[in-house]
Order: sequence, then C-alpha cells, then structure tokens
Amino acid sequence: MLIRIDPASTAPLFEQVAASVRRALAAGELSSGQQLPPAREVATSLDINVHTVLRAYGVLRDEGLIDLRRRRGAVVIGAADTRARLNTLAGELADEARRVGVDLDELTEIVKEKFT
Amino acid sequence: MRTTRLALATGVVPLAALAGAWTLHAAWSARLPDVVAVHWDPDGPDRSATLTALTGTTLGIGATLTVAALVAVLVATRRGSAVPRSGVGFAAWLAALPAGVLAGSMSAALDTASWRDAGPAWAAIAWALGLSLAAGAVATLVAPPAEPADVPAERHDLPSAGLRTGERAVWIGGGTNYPMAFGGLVVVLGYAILQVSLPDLGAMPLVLAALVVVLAMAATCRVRVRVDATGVALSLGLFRFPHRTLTFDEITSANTERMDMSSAGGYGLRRGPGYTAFKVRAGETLSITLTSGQVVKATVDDAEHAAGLVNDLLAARERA
Repeated sequence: MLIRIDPASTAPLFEQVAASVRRALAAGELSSGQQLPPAREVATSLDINVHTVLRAYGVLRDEGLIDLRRRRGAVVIGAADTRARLNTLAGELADEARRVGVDLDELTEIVKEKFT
Repeated sequence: MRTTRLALATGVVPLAALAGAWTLHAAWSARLPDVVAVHWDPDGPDRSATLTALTGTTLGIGATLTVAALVAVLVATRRGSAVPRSGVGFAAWLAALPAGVLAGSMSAALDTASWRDAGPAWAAIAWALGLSLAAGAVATLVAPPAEPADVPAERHDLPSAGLRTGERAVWIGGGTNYPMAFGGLVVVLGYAILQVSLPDLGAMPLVLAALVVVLAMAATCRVRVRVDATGVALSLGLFRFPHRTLTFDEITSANTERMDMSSAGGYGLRRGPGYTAFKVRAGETLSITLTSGQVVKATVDDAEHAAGLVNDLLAARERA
C-alpha cells in the first residue's frame, strides 16, 4: 500500500495518511482482514511522529473502515472499500460546496433531498 | 546451436567419461583381479566388490544421471528458463563421478593378486576427482554462455507513482502463498491422524519430517517489501529471513513483470545468472535492476505502485 504525504500542504499530516489508506481501500488494493502496515514502520519511513499515524488509524476506525486490535494491529474490516469510496466522494462534495459558496445547512438539505 | 551445445555438454561429455572408464576396463582387464577394493580406511583397503558388479553399478548410475540431467536441461530450455554454465558443469561432474570411482578402483588394483594389496586411497581419489572434474570443466566450456538480460526499458517507459516534488512516500506490501502457508498445518494434521490410526508407527522420523516441511513452508510462504526514501527492503517468510536491503545508490530502475510457476526454477529465494528472486507464487512481480546489471525480483501484489515509487524516488535523487 502506497502512503504519501506532502509536508508543505495545509492538510494535517494525519489526514493525509488517512486519505492514502482510504484511496487504497476505494481502489480495492486492500481487502477485508488485511493488516495495515505497523504505525511505527510507516512513521519511521515517512519521518513523522508515530502518534500522527496512530491518529490517522484512529480516524479510519471511527469511520468504520478498520478495526484496531491489540495483537494484530490495524485490520481492514468488511465493506471498508465501499465505505472508503463513500467517504472520498463525501469529501469531494464538501470541497465543491465550499468552492461554490454553499454552506453546511444548504448542503445537508441538498443531500437529504437526493437521499429521499 | 544453443540447444546442441547444451546437449553436448550435459549428455555427450559425461558419456565420454563413462566410455573412457569402460575403455580403461577393457585395456586393463588382463592386469586386474576379479575382486577390487572399493573403500579404504587409514590402514588400507577394507571393502571390496567384484569388478563386474562395480563396473555395472558405476556405469549404470553414471548413465542414469546423464540421461536425467540431459532431460532436465532440455525441458528447462524448452520452457525458456536460463540454464547456467555452472549448473551444466556441476551436472556433468556428478554424472562423470561414478566413472572416476571405477577408474580409481581399477588403477589401485592394477597388477595385484588380491584386493587387499590395492594401492593407496589417495591415488584412487585422485582418479575419481580428476576424471570427473575434467568432465565438469569441459562441459562448462562447451555449454553456451547465459543469454544477456533484456535491454532495460527507457526511463519514460517505466512505471511512476506520480510522486510530486517535496512529497514523501512509503510503499509497504507483499505477496502470500496461502496454500503453502496452510500446507504446513495440513502436514501436521495428517501426521496426527497417522499417529492415532497407526499406534505402532515410529514417531520421531515423522515428527522431524513434519517439522522440516512446516518450517520450509513457513519460510517461503510470504515475501514482504518496503520502499521508502532509504531504499528497498525485501524479506522472505514468516521469520523475515533471508532479507536484503537495496540502497538507491545501487538501483538503476524498477519495473514489473510476470513470473510463472517454473520461472527461476521454483519458489523461495532463487539465484540464477543475472537475478535473485524472492518468489512465493507465480504472477505479478516487482523487478529491480541494479547498477551491477543484476535484477532483484519479488512476487508482490500491487507491484506497479512499488516500481513506480522506486522510479520516482530515483528521479527525485537525480533532481536533488
């Protein structure tokens, strides 16, 4: 799995790490039950703090994409690829709304309308 | 031409050694006893065999080894696998060794009335090694050199991960042969069933055999690769041994290829002319070309991204 960060970007590093994992999940590069690389190894390779990677893994757990287990580390859970794709699309939707000046309430209404 | 030279080296050269031993047998028959020494201890000859039996056994083994080596080499060539000259030389040496043993025993028994009067062991060993090593050397010279590696692709044809200036990245991945990983457990289960159903079965040899199989499978069921700014780290098996680290100073480029089941001659850590392969399955393979011309291969999933990142990090180093 490819994880990339841009230290010059305004996006927080943990969010960039999480975005890399989401992209890999959405592309089907990670399957259910597969382990993510150990946080310490990722942190060492990217020359960032291990807590940054752990925070990224925490975000992915909260999104229901991975499970954090004591002995096995971060493990992809079932249907994570579709959840990751949904999450990516939602991010793009939010970015586009900000770009055209649509606020959160208005965007929520649009989504509710489409959903029903 | 290439196949002809391989056939000459693997087949004709050892057969010539066997024929030479047979010719010596015919030429010395009047000077040899019916029984000759075949083994020596520090005090002299301690075991014997009839000359007829020794001749039949050694020439038979030599001929069998020659045919087996010839078939193996021709099949490998037909499948497109590289056959190293050193391998051909070794096969010829092994096939000619029985002829050397026969020649050694006969030379030690020349002009003696009994096998107990045979000459010293070193002379027999010198014959055995001399004849077989000569055959191996001739076969190595006759065998064609390994075909040159494919011309490396141009840099712009190589995969890229799209790494932008200033970005940092790591690729961590691997390949797993699940049948092999679980095969060891099946062996242990089979052993347990045998023990229960056949109480008289000797336990230890099977325990050891099962242990060897399990360890061998565990050692070759998984390959793991990490690509980051420091280089490429490769390791094999659940124990991550053997492992190898390549720095970008020794890497020229990376690409992907597909290996089939017989590529590199099997699974595990494979070495051949111009390549080292960390192979646990057939299929998608990361292929890293070194400045030495050697190619290091690893059968990993998503090899395209791994190769792309290697090329991008190389390009970033060139820009810096």
